[in-house]
Amino acid sequence: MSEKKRNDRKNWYPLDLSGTVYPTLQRKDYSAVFRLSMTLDQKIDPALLQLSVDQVMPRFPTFKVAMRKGLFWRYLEPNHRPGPFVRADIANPCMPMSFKGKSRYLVRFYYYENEISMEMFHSLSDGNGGMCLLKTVAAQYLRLKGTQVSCGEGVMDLNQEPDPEELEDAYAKYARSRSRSALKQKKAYRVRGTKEPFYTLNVIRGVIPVREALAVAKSYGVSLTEYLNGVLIYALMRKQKSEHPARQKPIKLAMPVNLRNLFPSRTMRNFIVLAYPSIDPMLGDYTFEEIVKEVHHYMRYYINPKFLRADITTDYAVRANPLIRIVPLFIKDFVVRGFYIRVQDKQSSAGLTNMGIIRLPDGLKEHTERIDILMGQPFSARTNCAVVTYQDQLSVSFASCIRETDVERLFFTRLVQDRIHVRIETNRSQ
Amino acid sequence: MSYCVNCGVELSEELKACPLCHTPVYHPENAREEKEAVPVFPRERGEVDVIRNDVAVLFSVVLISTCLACGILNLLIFYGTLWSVYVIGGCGVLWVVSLPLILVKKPHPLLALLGDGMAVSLYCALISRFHPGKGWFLEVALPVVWFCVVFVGCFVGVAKKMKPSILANASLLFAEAGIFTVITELVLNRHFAGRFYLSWSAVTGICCAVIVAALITIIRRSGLREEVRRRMHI
Repeated sequence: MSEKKRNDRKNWYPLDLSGTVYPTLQRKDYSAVFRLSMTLDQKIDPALLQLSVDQVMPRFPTFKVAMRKGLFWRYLEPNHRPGPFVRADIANPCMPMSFKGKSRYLVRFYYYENEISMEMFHSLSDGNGGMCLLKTVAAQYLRLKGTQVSCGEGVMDLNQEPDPEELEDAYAKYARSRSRSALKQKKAYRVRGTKEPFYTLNVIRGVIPVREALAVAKSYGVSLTEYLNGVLIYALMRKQKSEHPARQKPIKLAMPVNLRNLFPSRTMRNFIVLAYPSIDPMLGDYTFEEIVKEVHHYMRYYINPKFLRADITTDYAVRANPLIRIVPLFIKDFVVRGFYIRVQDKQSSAGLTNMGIIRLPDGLKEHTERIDILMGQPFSARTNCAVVTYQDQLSVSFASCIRETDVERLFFTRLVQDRIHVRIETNRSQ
Repeated sequence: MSYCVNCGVELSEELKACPLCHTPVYHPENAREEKEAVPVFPRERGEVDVIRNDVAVLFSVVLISTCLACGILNLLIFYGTLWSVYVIGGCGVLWVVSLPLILVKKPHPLLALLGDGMAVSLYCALISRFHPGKGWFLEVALPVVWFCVVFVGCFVGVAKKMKPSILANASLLFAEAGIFTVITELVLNRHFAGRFYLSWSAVTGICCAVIVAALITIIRRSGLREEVRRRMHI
């Protein structure tokens, strides 16, 4: 057996806790894919971008992988095929990724005008890990163009070997709570709409000045994240009300929380847990101020190490259970998929991902104009929202596979009512 | 730059209508200059790489192996009757029905239906070769199969061309089902009893007619239509 094959057999990676679910949900028309984009101040040279990708990928061994099926679990193993190859960008982003595609990579790179975009299958990493890869690719691209770019702020040193902490499953490290959280069972309101044809993802993006948004959030006495959560819940509440249902259901958002802020880890892999800020319209009519306060108190109460560690432990305990470990993979897939469709997917009305403030090192920040994030196609016909802040620009992107734009319209018009300037971009055909 | 007069949001230059509320946008300067702004998002659509040929090859190999194995068993071991002919014919029908769906991303539905009808007709012809009976192939099998093809083709054609609502599709489906059961019984009775008359299909036909009448009423009454759509989330 060759040296390479021997090393591959030693260097395989089990999927982390979050990553285990996504391949189970894989369908012909659905993959859990997210997209990160950086807009530079110059037109992208595809050849240089390809060279940059080829030089950077070996520094991230957990991204230069292929998905394999074992008897009991799926796993990732090193992928030595050529690629990933950069391509011209397309109108319908976040297309499904085939595990048995030509090159088997679970990362894609695109270029369009001044923009570099990276799509990643969610089993590999969350937004923070993916952003490190994109920053490093952009930094290396600018270095190849002759610009001095320092390392740091997520840009990794290509001459260094990957730190073992970057490859660890941080969930296993912190799943040590003595208590477990209750499984959430309440059904939430779900947005209905006319499904778009195959492989169509409708994107509406709002670009907002951060100063104005922060000032408005401060006027309500809440943080920017809490304010945006409140606006989305308000939009969903009004949407549900306009449908005149016989009985109104709770409005719940699925909000990933970056656990690296609370539990020190340098992992490049998934390390998030979901929080569910919500309101129940059956309790009465909510004003916008009440919604924002509700979200504010929920976040203050729930986002703390103790509750989150209990959540990690609960989720990890299921996976680590010896009786579950010996169940064959096809049975696990069937059960997990059924649970997700019947329970998990019905627990939230929409998703809101906030990546927070992105910082770049010297050399890169002078040439970067904007950063965007896009959550890929939702599992069911609904809309997802992703937020990222870079310098003075807050980018809010809605991705949906339905034709109706009511949620987006209600969201952005609420911001306009609060005197926030919003600039809209979209890939929807006019 | 332009603003939507309804939502109040600023719109990127290339937009001709607000994507949130579809209010048209008028650019007084651009109307004179006819400038084409660089779109923020690319226009070309992408396609997902799907390995279709491998699946088709595998499917074909499985069917061919089945046919060969049954043929050999029939010749060498179980040679009382030519039973393998029916298995081979069935595999052929399955192959014709499935292959367009596997190989072609968007098969033409009417062509595929035509092919399926021909395959089923040939299979019936093969069976009638060994069991001719009283001419059931020409008097029963062919009419039933081709009426089925026509009805399904009509349904698919209407669904593709006119894109009716779910309620309209359902009423068309029940109407065709009722007519099809009536025609099937007429054909069967003509062959076995020598005359056209109705019995069980009158019941199914009436039931389908009642359902169609109810659905048409729901479609035409806007209040009922909205209530059904709300309750059934359609």
